Amino acid sequence: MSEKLVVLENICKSFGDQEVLHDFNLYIDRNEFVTLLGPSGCGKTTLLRMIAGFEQPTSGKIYFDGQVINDLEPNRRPINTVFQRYALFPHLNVYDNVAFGLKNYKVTRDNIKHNIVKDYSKELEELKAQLKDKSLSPEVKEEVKNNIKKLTEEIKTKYEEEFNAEVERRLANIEKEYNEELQKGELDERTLLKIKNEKEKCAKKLKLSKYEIDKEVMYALKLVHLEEYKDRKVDTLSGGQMQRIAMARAIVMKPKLLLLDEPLAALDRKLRQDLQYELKEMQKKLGITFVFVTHDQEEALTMSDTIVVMNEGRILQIGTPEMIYNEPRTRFVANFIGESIILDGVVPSDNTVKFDGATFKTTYKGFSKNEEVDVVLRPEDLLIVPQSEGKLKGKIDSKIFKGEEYEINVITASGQEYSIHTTKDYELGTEVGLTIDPENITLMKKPGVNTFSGAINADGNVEIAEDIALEYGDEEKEELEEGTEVVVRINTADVLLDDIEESDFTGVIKDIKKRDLYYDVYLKVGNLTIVSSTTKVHHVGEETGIWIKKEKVFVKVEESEEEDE
Amino acid sequence: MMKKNIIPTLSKVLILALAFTLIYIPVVVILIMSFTKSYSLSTLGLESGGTLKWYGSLFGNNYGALDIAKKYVSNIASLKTAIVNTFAVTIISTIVSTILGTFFAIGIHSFSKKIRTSLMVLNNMPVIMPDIVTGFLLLLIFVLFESIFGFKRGFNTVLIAHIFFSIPYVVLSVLPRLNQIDENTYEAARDLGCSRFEAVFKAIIPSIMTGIVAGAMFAFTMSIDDFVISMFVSGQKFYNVSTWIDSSLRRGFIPKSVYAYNIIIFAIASIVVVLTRISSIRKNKGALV
Repeated sequence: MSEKLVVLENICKSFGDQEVLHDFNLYIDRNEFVTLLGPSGCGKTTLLRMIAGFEQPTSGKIYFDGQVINDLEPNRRPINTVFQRYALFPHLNVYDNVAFGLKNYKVTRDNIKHNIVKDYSKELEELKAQLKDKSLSPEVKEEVKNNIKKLTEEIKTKYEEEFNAEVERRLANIEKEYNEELQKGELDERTLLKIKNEKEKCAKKLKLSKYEIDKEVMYALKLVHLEEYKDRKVDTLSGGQMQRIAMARAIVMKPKLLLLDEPLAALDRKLRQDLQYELKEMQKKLGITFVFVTHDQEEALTMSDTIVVMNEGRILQIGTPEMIYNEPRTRFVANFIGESIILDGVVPSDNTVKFDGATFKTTYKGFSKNEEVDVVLRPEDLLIVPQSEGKLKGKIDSKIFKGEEYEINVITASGQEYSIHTTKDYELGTEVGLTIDPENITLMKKPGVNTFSGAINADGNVEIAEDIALEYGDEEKEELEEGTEVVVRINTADVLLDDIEESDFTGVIKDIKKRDLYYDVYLKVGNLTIVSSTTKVHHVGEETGIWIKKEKVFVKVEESEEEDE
Repeated sequence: MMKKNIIPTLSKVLILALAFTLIYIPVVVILIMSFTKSYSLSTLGLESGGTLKWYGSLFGNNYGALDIAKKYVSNIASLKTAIVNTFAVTIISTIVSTILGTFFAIGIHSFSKKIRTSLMVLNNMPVIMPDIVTGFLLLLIFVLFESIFGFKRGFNTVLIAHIFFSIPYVVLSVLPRLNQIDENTYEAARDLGCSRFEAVFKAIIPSIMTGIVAGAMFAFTMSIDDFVISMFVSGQKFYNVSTWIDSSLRRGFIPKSVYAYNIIIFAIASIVVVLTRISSIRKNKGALV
């Protein structure tokens, strides 16, 4: 058994003209608590519904336990769902709601049949296709027909065999249970015998007897702490109770995978927090894989082992809650997960960043010299200190009391606002300083501009890497001396992808990200990563030509570092 | 305070009493007349003494004014036949239209909102249309059928017509209930091991049962008291109670058994209303406990 329970491979889904999921790839490990997080309309619920079997992907494959399940009916999948508005059956009481699935005894029988038919289906189809061939002579046709008949017989006997084997297995189990109960001696022999007979009668039809159903239902109800509500009508329950019943109804089926579609969205804050905790406990206790869909980032951070941040039908980032929170990879993720302040910064050298007129230490290496970056700061990471000790100096502009903490707004001399969460109260208008620990500064590559450091070569072109020299500037450019160190900026929209023959140099596509109206294609050229914004569809792994107009290559003489400090 | 006294309590009581008297006086009159011996339809006949014969004769061969005609025409219906016909048509059409209407409603519900709205316009058309138009149109169709397929008017055409005009009422009472239940009910059932059909029968239909029952009651009442449409499509030899009374009246005389019939129907209806009321009161109390 592989570790991967669910594998989604190149899933695309469109409703009419609207593409909801674009070439989606994801795998889910056993016993993992995975959260799909994204704003509404990002495709997360559609994804969940596809795993459950209520929607079919337009293209791509869904594997469950190593088998493709695209065409498997939802009632045959060992997957259960907890719906957003609970979807309890109003005509049944609590007990019968939970027992509903267990009473659909046909499932096992169908599964046996399905599994056998699946093994033979290819052979059968081939034979049937042969029959349609009109050129066949009558004798051959007769033979094919006989083969089909034989195959059908074989399926039937095999089904009966497996059916009986399952019955035997169950009967043996019942016998064992009976003997155990007898040993315990809690009930007298006659009652036990009656129960045993009833169970055996049901087992022969692969049904569950009322005793077995009762045991399972009561266990599930106990798990959600609602045993004493079993006779209540569902419409007399509160939202939280209904949600628990919906959980019990799904868990009682012993699914391998439990899908939860924003199950807590309709509950109030306090109850939501309680249930979050309970859900997580339940997942640990039962050892079931949970896939949880939510748009609430707090919920995702509290409960998940892994968070998948989605937007517009694409994965933006996958990682543990800590990773997602502390190191958001894109502006969207930073904004969506927690409050954040995003500023423009420049990286003068490794482990430093300059923004709002001050230079800070960071933990980042590997940006090119003077590359422009987005700086992400969290309100709780900004520390208010006396003005003399702070790197940033500003004035307290406003404050809001939020119960556990104050939200304080500081404006610096440049007019930049910083929102800070702190437990300490400050007077309005106080002059203060701000500091940030290096590990709390997150830097992100800026979309839209490629920034390289380069040098002018002998031909008067700019060399951004070994072997890669670009012509630059227009007619009026100032001539630079050979060897001058420069910063090269190229807008991603000006990096054109073309046939390999026509182009200046070539690169391999490493990654593609969907933006609002175009794609950002990440190309690997030697050691460099070049980003191209294009509306054309490309594929990861492709080798493509790269072509940049010389007027679009901007070159600036690099300021020396000493000047900067 | 002033407002409350604009209509004094006494006049309120008087107005109410008047209203209820006007509503119930015909019932009371018919009730009395159905128990008096006199044949006269123009007096209460209190002096003639009481009897149960009108109730008894409901189940005998009572031809009313058609008694004389009976001598010349062999297959004229008795009131008993008319009652049997009425109930046969009503019960069958209620069952068929409830089943069909329920599935229509489930079908309509599964469409997008835009298509649903236009389908509902189509559904409501026969409801809004005056009976006389519906009856006449159905008559035209049945005449056409008769000339092409030799499809005689009678029990069949009345039944088809009743099913036809009952279905929209069933759809109208089932659909709101469908809108009320959770949109994932069907999927929840599939998720818990039901095949497509089982999901509909085990989850959807029981959840909308109140709507279906209301629809069936609607269909029943619409069918049992229909006169206009039945008259158009029944042909010459088929009578239900309303067309039978009509034809008897036109020949000059109806037996007081008709009064007995009306009183029985009224009594059944009242009992049903009272029982529903009691059960709904009980239910509400149960929810509070």
